[in-house]
Amino acid sequence: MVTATRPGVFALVFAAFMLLLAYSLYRRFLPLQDSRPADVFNRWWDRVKDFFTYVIFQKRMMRDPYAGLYHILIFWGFLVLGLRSLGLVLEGLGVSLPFLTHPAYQMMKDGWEVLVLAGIALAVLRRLFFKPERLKNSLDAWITLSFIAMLMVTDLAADGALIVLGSPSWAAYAPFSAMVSSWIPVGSAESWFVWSWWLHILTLFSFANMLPYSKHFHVYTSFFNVFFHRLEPGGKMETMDLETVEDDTVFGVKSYRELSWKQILDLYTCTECGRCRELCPTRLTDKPLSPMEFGNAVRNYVYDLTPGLAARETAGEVPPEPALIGETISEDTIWACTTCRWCEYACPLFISFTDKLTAMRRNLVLEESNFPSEMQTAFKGMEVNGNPWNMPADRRTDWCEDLDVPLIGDNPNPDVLFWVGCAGAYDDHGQKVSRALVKIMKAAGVSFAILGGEETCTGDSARRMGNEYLFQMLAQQNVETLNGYGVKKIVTNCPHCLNTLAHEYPDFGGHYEVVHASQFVAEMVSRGRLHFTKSIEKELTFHDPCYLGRTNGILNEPRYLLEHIPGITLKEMDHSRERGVCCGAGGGRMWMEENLGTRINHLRLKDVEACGVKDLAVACPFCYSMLSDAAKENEKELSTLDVVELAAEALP
Amino acid sequence: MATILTFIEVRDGQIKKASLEALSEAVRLGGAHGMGASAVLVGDNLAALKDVPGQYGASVVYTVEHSDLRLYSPEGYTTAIVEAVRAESPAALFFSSTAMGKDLSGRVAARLSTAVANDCTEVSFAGTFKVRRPMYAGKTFATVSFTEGSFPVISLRPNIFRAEEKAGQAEQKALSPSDLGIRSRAVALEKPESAELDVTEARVIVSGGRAMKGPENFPMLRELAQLLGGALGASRAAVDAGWIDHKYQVGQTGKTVSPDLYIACGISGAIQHLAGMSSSKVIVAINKDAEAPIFGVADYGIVGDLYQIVPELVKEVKNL
Amino acid sequence: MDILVCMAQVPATDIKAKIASDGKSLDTADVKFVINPYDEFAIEEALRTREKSGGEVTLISIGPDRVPSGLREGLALGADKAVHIQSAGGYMDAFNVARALSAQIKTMAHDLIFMGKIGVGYDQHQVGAMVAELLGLPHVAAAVHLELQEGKAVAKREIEGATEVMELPVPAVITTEKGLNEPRYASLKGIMAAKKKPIDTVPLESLVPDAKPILVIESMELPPAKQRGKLIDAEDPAAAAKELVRLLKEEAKVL
Repeated sequence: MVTATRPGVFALVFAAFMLLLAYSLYRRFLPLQDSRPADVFNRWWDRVKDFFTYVIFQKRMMRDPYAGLYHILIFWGFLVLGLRSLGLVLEGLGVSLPFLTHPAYQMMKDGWEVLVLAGIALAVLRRLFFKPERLKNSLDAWITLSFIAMLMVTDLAADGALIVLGSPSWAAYAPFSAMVSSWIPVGSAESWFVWSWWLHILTLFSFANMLPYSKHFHVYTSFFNVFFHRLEPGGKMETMDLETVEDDTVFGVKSYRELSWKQILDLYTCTECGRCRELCPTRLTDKPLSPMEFGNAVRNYVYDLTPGLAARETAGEVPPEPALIGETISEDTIWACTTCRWCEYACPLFISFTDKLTAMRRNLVLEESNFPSEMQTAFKGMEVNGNPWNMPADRRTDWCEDLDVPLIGDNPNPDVLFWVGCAGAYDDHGQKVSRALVKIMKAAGVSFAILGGEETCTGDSARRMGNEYLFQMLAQQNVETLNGYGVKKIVTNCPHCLNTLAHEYPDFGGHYEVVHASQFVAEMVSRGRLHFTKSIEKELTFHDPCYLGRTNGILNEPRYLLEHIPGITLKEMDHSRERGVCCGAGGGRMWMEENLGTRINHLRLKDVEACGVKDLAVACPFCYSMLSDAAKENEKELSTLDVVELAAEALP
Repeated sequence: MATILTFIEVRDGQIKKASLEALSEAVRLGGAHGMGASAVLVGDNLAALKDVPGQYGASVVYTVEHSDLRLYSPEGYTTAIVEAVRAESPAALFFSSTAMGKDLSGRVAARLSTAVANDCTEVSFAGTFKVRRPMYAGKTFATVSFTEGSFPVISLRPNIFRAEEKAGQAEQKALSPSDLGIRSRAVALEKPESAELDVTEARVIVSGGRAMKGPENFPMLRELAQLLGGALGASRAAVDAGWIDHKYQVGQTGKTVSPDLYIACGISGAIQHLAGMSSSKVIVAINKDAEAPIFGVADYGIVGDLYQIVPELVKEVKNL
Repeated sequence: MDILVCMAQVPATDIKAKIASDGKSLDTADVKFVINPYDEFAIEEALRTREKSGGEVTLISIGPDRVPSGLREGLALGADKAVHIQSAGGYMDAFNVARALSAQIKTMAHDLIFMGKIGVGYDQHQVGAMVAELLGLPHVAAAVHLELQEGKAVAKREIEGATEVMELPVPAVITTEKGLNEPRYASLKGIMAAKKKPIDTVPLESLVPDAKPILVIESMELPPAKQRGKLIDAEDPAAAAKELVRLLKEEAKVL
């Protein structure tokens, strides 16, 4: 067997590089030691399924077919060629595995090396010519691409040289290596082999050592990061334990110690692909928050800590630490997020961002009492009057004063409880939508009831703004009320209420089946319980509320409903469904001033205008406010209506 | 004959109209119950003003003149008034609920070991003095009476009672308390750049709310207010949004006003706002929403777009 | 500095008022009580003063059993301790309130005494001035700006059409007006710490054993529900404006 090295020499080189790698990984591991645990060692079968779907079969990557294609070429190539690397190391140590010279394997290896090169070529083409906006043109990226290319080329060269040197049996199955071999002069074949072999090994070892310091760290971490990704509903925030509080308890996240190891792993795994930035509403409106930059800033903060942590391990000294909030991540950045979760939908590696941002908000609110002053009115309102507008609590049923709407006390076993919500009760337009839903439910013969004055804010805004204490107070109160009446099924017009009632209240003992009004009405239509007699001649587009569509997957029902209203023609915006762009009100931002950059709602209005329609259908009271305001502020002739309103209008 | 003593507030060398309103009420109420009216002026250089209370029906005017009293001092003015009370032994002491009155009456009452009935909209007498005054930020009205043996100090809401001139001359009595006891005192008065009428003094108020959408839309209302000889006001929504300074805020956490005419533009009429202006004589509401609560208290309402209506109003008023 | 804050609990300002069956008080059955909004400015100013000059902030409040929860809210904001002057509840005229507060304050070290200019319960607007008088201290009412200098305070208050700049020596009583500061929001840490801070209870009778009411409430009622007014057609804005002006001039006679 032709070898390029003596096992002894190789073993030393191998050992050296491996020690170096071990040290790098150890350093990367240090911050995880101090971090919080993560409750992810569960639901193994779901995790295995997701692993295959998203890692092996790259489902999210394929959303961008071009990138998906070349990434699959490179990734699968790496899986196949991983064996090759193992084989080379063993070869260096003097061990030879028969399987690795098997024709079948050689053919696969050969073919995949070229496929990987093809992938690299596509990637290079993209960076040079297509230059998608989201991509960061970094040196890191070019080095990585070069290294991978180098690995392929050196291996083909080495095998090519081998073919020249010894015509191995597998040569017939390695056409590309064979092709390369024809370029290698016989006399220098041996030195070609040795050079290529060593170059390959050194490139491999260098690459392996570089990874923990590059954006390609994901090569090591991605499997774990996706396998251990959060399986809970995307819109559900973590419930804080506010009972067991010690003097040194930190609320929310103030430093890396309060992040969980999984959250730190998230930061390590970012490949800087920029998909998260593509439709992030804050980035698009020039606010300081851009998901990738945010994640990278926190990651770099953690990286910067490691020398100090290492020193602590060895010398026992406690090094000074930069502040995470303020110094590393500005407060403006933390407050900018609308929790629309485009970033979390887009990330192929399941990196989460909103959890880290809201955790920092929790620290600012619960510990520092440091937050934009206008939020206080919303907090006080929810606390004292049960709604963020601080409207009188005893006016919660004014909207249906003249309608015959049964309170649950009078109709104790309804088909469904209508959760009116604060907007549905107090907001001008919200009230109209509530009344429309009542009309529809009566027309369809649904037995329903409302909580009336016993309903109080679900607390969605409080939680998103970081006020977990206020949220838990409201949640406990609502769950007590709902359970007291034995409520099982809830219909609501507000996607934020829906999200909180369905996914966040279970932690407080509230388990309800929650449907959005559009779903509910769509179902009535499909069951033939509603008969539209009027035709509403409108060509409109539907704006998917983030908390309805992207976060809760309710995309088809509103469309079904719209399409079944006579006269309605539905046009889709370019950015629709899961690619819908946020209206700007989520994340508690409805209650905050928007002082930085440009307006998110104005941005979304442009999407509506580009669609060329005069009518906009929405399914959320926040979206309604933001978009109708945007139309007014830009003096556009756009009429905004809730899908429920449209349905009610078409009834006799 | 016992009199009702009224404190006459002097600011900027002028007698405040609200004090004359209180004096006139003292004259009317006293007259109906066999009591006269007296007045006390406190300040400096009061020569030109001494005769005015007499022209409103006061039979006795006490003047406490001192250079140290040129500007307000709670203790100084308290001493002056208490001196007049000791000299006159009135049946009651009236104030007007101006900024000075609301403050001063309290200190005076404490020195006289009694309490003030503040911000009264009605005063009556039936053996003891009885008043009608708001409570719970104006959400309720209470009829409150002074107990037997307590000395009534009553502060009247401005712009409710009518100042009435009565031909007559008052007996002048000058007082010089030995020790004014001044420790807290005004040292300066800062005036705003523009000579803008304060919302609490105005007979007409044009007020903007949430529908104003921004500071740039208030000049239109200010113009209308000025044309009507009135003041600009705002609801809490506009102030909280930072569109206008809180000194214009009308409402339970702002100022209580009772003008002859209150024009509410783009104000929904939430209860906190009503608490501040519901005693206005005539309320006009301009709002897009026919269901807005403001229409429940408005005497005249226009359900329309204020951005179209107000400019038309400006035109109309210019033609008056 | 020993800083005191007199605070009161009042019904939440947005309630739909209901008169109790006795016809002379508010029906407080479903009413939520909050710290008097003007006292929030007082507490905030006290805390800021302590932050600048050091010392202790003590809250004092008169009322029945619900008062300690209000005091805890104030403690959660950062006050150090509190005194609850326990009373039976119900209306107390301002002079008797001031007597009780002064009697209590006389037993405590006091450099500055803050309280809201008015309590939006009984709307009496005089307790601050009275407490100052009974304690023989100078005072300034409805301060929208406050600056503490060596041994004295400079405050600004809004009067009609101008701002009055007042100077007074310290110790003093300062009543607070909206605009003086922005009250902070209690952090959860503050709320938890408040549970451990001391609240002393003092019975009212021990402070004012011979309280004699000066004012009594004879009756209380809701303001008359106004009749719905005239709606002017707004089809044509110019015509509507014309009509309104005409009505105001000829019918209402206010122009």
